[in-house]
Amino acid sequence: MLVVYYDIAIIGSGVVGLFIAYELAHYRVRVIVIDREAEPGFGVSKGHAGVIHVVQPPFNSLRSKLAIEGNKLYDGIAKRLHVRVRRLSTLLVARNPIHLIALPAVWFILNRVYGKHGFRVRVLGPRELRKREPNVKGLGAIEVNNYGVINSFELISQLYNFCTLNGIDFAFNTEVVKVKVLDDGVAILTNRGEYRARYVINAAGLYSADVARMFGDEYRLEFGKGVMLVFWGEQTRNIVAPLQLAPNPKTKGGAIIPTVFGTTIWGPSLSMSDRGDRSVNEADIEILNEKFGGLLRRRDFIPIRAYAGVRPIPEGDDFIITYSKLSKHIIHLVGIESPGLTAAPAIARRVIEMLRDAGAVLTPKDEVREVDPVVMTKSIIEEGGTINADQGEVVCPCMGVTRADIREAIRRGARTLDGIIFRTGLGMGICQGMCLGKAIKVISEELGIDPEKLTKSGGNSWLVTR
Amino acid sequence: MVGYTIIGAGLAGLSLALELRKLGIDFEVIEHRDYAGGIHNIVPEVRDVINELLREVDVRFTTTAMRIDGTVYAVWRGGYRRLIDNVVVATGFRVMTMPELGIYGDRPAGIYPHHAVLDMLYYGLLPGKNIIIYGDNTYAIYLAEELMKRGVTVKIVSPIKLGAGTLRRAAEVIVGRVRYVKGLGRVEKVLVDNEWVVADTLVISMFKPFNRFPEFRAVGQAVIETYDPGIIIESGRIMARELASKSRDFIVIDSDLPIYPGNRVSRDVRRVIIPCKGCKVIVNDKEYVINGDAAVIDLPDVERVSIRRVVS
Repeated sequence: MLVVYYDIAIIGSGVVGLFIAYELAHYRVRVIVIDREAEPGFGVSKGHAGVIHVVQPPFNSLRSKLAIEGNKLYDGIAKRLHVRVRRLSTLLVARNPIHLIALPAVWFILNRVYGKHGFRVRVLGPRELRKREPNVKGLGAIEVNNYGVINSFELISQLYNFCTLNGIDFAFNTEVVKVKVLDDGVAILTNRGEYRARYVINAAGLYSADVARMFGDEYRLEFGKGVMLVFWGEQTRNIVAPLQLAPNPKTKGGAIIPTVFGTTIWGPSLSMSDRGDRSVNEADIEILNEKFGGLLRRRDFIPIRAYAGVRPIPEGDDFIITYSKLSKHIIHLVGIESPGLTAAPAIARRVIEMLRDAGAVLTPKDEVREVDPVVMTKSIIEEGGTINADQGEVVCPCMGVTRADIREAIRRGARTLDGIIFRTGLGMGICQGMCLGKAIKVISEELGIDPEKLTKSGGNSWLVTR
Repeated sequence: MVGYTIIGAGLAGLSLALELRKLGIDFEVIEHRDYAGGIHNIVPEVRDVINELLREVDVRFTTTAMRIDGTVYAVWRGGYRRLIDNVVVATGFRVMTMPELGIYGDRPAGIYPHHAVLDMLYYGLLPGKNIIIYGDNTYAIYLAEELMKRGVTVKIVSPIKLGAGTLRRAAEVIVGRVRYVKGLGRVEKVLVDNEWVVADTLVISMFKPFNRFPEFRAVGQAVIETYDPGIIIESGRIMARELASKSRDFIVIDSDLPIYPGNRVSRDVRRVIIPCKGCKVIVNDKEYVINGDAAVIDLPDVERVSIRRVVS
């Protein structure tokens, strides 16, 4: 079998692996990204709420440091990659007089920690809260600015496009089975053949401990499941969460989150689970209702969808970013859970430094190609431009997705229904995929395959038969 | 163009169109799909009515109303225009969502809303081989029959007992609620009450009225929760006459029930639909019993009408 040689192999094409590949795309190195899934971002990156966080407790942790750095990098990256980011605040709402009395003390603590890093913390009185968030019930709130929500699917897609445009190779549906450390690098044996690389970066998310173990490095991971409930329409302007003075593990984390799509997410909840479990259970939804239901004045919003994500929680509850005990040519990123999306740009920069320290020669390329913005038909219409026939063939009326949009998503790498959904928003609205019949036909036509061969997300996720 | 744009070429939209034509009012019917009839496309008797209507009314197919930010546009292959006034929404029911229905579990491939399956059938595709249809209505039954004709195994799960007369072919009916779906790649099994049923597909055929463009008036199942084709047709007629009415006299309705076409109706038309399944209502001093899920009521020729539900 043919063995392909690379300078650097990245295992995992989630947001972390992609950001590392994105950084490496600026240098004269041959890079391969290997992923067991059918498309980039189908693992941990598939199941979060798309929030750009600020300081994280515990405040002295690596993940807090990297989240702060990452947060500050996002506007520039989003601009360069043409990804929608919406900056907003988080409001911690006081629901009872005890909370209200505690507000100044909470402010004092948060302001010291957050203020040091340039995040603004303010106390909002009842009138100001009402003015800022007419739909929120509360006596007052603490406001922390500089949060963000991002179209994380668009981010994944644009990172991937930037990488392919700049010569990075990808191997999907490719599972690492075994590794062998050789004198001049590492042999990576997969179900689809062997790759050799001088440096290996383990960004395998839920499988990061397994990959590390192949190198003889032991880490223990637990898996946490977060459930999110999506509503049609915008309930709040900012991220809103109840102020919690005493931590309650049952209702830890989560918020009411306005998305870039005009929908609202409640969540995530957090419960321990196993790696393959993305089920949504009644108890999860009850926790969300209990936690967030009482915060809103108007509650007649239609819940359209619930989904779950799984995160790898490492021992010691902090990101592990380290060389293998075996060799500095192997870098493990283990347990990159929340706020992994926020931290990812900063993690990537740290990994580049670690590669340099390990002796990798990174010479900047003379020229780096930039990605085009994704222009959906609906924005052409909104701006009064002219459209051609395929731009006028609407497949999903609810989210305004046309045949031309589907073709463009395919051109940018979509190979599955989920790949199209993530890039276009198709079927994600109130219509629940009422358009899926037509969508399956059009996607198959545009991919040039039989509809029976199209899958939702690879593997056994077939969609139709005859 | 002076006239009305009707969004949707189903029973409601086409009925409205025909009535407008009779009244000499200009209109166009736009339809997102490349076929007419919507949810009634596979209901034989209603399909005949729709075919009749199509002989009288032209439809612009593959022409879709969609909202972009705050604005509604009609979009077709090669062009678009803003829809501002004189628009009537006839887009029918929406399918209820999984959280609304309390269906938990995995989200594998093979969970489809009713309408997606209608399109599949139209394009010669099947959603699966071993199908559960979750629905409490005649559309679920017709869909089951249509799928069974194509050699597919179908079970209907309904929270309520379905009328025996409506089942002409032997689709198995399980009375119960779908609670949980299991499957990694594809649907593997579905929990109905406390029993697992093996299936590769779950079709959701539970519906709710939904007007996607609430700034415009609507007809049929976009606003009325009815499964009676007669009521849907009548809503089109009432709307046409309301739109045609030049009278400045209105009847104001005081009601604790939702009234179609609204709480202020033209005195020329004086006709409303009260959707309230099996209800007893008092209209001013007259008592009515609603036999089906909605009733057409002619109002007295007075300025104010009170409609009250009698709770016994």
